[in-house]
Amino acid sequence: MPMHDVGYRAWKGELTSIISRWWMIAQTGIAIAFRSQWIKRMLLAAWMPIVAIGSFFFVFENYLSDRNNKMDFLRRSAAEFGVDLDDPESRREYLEQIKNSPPLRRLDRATTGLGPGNSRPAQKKQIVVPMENTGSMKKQISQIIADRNKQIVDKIKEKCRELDVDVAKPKIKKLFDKLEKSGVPIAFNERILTRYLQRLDNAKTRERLERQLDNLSEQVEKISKLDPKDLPITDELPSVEDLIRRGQQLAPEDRFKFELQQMDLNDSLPPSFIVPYRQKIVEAWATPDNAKARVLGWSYFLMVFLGYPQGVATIILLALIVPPLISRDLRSRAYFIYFAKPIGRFEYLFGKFTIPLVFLVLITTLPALGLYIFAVALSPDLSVVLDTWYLPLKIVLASAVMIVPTVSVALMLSSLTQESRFATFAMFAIWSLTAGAYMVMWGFHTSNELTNEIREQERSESTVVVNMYDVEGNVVGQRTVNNQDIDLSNVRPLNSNWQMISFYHSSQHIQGWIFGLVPFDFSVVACGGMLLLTTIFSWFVLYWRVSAPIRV
Amino acid sequence: MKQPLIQLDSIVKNYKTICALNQISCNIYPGVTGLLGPNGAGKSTLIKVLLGLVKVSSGYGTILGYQLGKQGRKIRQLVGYMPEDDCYIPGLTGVEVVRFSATLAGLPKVEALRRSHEILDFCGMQQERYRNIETYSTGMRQKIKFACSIVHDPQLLILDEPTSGLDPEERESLLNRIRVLSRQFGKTVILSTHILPDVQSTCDHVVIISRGQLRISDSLENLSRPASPTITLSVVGDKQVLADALENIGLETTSGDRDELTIEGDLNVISDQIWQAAKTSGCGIRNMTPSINSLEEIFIQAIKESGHADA
Repeated sequence: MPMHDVGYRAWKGELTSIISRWWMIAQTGIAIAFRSQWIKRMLLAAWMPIVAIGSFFFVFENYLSDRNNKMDFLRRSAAEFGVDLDDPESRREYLEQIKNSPPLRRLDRATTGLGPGNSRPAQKKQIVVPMENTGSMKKQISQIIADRNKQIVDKIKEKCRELDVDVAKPKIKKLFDKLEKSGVPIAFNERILTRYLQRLDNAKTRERLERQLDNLSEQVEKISKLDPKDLPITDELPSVEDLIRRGQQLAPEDRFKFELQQMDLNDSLPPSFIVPYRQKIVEAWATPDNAKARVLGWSYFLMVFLGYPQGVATIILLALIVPPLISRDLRSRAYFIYFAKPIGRFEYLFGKFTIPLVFLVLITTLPALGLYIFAVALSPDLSVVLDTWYLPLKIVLASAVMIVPTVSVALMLSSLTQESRFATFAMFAIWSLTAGAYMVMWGFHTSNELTNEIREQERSESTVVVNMYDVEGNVVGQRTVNNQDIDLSNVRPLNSNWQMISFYHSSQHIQGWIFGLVPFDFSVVACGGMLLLTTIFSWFVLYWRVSAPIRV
Repeated sequence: MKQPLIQLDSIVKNYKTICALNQISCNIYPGVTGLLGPNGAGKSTLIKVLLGLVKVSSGYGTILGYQLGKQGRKIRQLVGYMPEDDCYIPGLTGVEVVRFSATLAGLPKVEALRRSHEILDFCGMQQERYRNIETYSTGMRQKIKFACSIVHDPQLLILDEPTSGLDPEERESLLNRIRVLSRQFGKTVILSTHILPDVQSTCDHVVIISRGQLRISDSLENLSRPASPTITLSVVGDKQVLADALENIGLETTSGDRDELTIEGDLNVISDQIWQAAKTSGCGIRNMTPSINSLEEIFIQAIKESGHADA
């Protein structure tokens, strides 16, 4: 008998509170889970996105502190939405326009077979230039545009040669020839040039670009058949910028308006198909009041953080932690150890529920709150706390919307089998199949709607009008051609209510509503109701399954 | 007369159409009580009823002064239960399982660890306590289960087949521990087992259940005593000659195994007549003791009666 063996001794001590016993179950579960190397690695990986989102906050706060800064990528991004960040009028117009716009949903053009990328509808751009009401000035404008086109074409050609793209391909060659001719009323701008050059740099998109150039070539072919008025050529060719500057100084009645169709092959889809919630960040950039802009911007970043990287990390971490929690207890009959002690079934379930809860709070709520504190630290003074005090509450609420239903369902699946592998498969199946079903449904709907709209418009006699006006507003030159840009602004995306069939999209939709990025409508009620009912059902099943083995 | 710690009055438990416990009424007193019955007799159901894990269909009972079915949590605080099934918490070491069990019963964390080591010492568990419980042999897991059931120093211990899977030496050690807990520390123990010698050597009382009905509930001493006094003789020589001699003087005899002979009557009254008969028949008597009923006989008799009753 060892020296330290004192035999049996009665124990008289103070017992811990009966309310805290569930925490003992949770603590032990957390300790067991922490022994897994994979869970530790996953926790580390789940904290990585905080760096990216933190840098978004940094850029955003820099922009707010100096709106005239040189961050061109912000301007380019806003320009995709038709907003000129340097122009207060353009910003105001955009804010007015989105007041009545529907909630945005994503449409990848690749999904619909219409081509790559997301885009916006074609725009007509009006350049107001000062000039006498003479034909010679009209010719000057045409010449200037042709010169600019030539410069851009030269740059594209040079890049093509550098990259060994076949510029001698008949259609492309024809396109370049047409563009270089004077008097063609089509304008390339710097943004299009930059984009083409970027795409040429990318091997994946180069092939697509070549196809686009083919299409462009056909369009130019048609437009070039327009017959501009016979205009005398003058010797002096002022720059467009000079003309615009001078025009702005003139009285409106002295101005000459030159309207032309701005060609942009990506500009054909309505804004309602743009990346979800993305218009909110453009809205934040466009909002002149820093306090309002900050709430919008921070909400957007927090939503992106919780909805995308952390949403995926949540599912993966749950798949590692939850499946064995109850199924292994059922297999090893550990429930006898629990229920022989003064522990109730709800305490057992609550203890088990707390284990993944702690891990998920570690990868969602805590880093999101950290980001908020980081953002407050970046802002000019602490008064921002008064404007944004409710964001931490929204973070907690948005995390709960994601965590509670997903953990409840995962625990239910764990309680339905003694093999944790089956619970893992079932978990992935439920999440991916419901999300997949929604996405496929959405894709089919959108594709069908777009196809119908395009066919409808192709049958119609719609035209593009290229006008030239004099100071009186009279059209001095006009040509109509067959419509090359299909107007898809009337196509509606799939009803948001259908998101309720997907766990992932439902919780993301509710999170969007919590952060004020999605307006309150029936879809929010439907998604919230689905999550609530699923949670209640899961707890019923859990209680029944945990009671079953000890009842018999 | 000691006060009963457990009082059951007309306990009925039905599972849909099956009656698992039918009008069980009995008292269980301090000491070690053997709970016996064939498979499916309702022993496990009775234990779950005692622990407050299943609700009774009808009936009333108290355990340690708490009402059955309504104060289950308080009852389980004072009861230690060692289940028959092989149960463990995967991923923990032996000492961690016992410590976890202690914290569930309400011991503070540090005290729970100290107490776990103390109890594992008492249970004869050495350094293997630091191994993962999934690597344990059946005997080791039995020890861990026993340690979990006593770690919070309960007043009442319910042990379901505690010696199954143990080698003879370990089995004897465990029974000794049960005796120590009962006699030195005043624990009330309910020992549910099929191993009758364990009950015979350890228990003070016996409760026999068959087909959901209570067959016997009495002290082992009372049960061992035959209905009418008999004497068992161990005869040297021809026991038939002695039997004839005893019958000639009016004593009824029954021939037993080998050299045994059973005689109806009180030892104090007829011992002289037996010696006289032995002398006349020329037989020797090696041993003369009052007969007792074996537990096996009692058990089989009780089961047979229940079979008749149901028939």
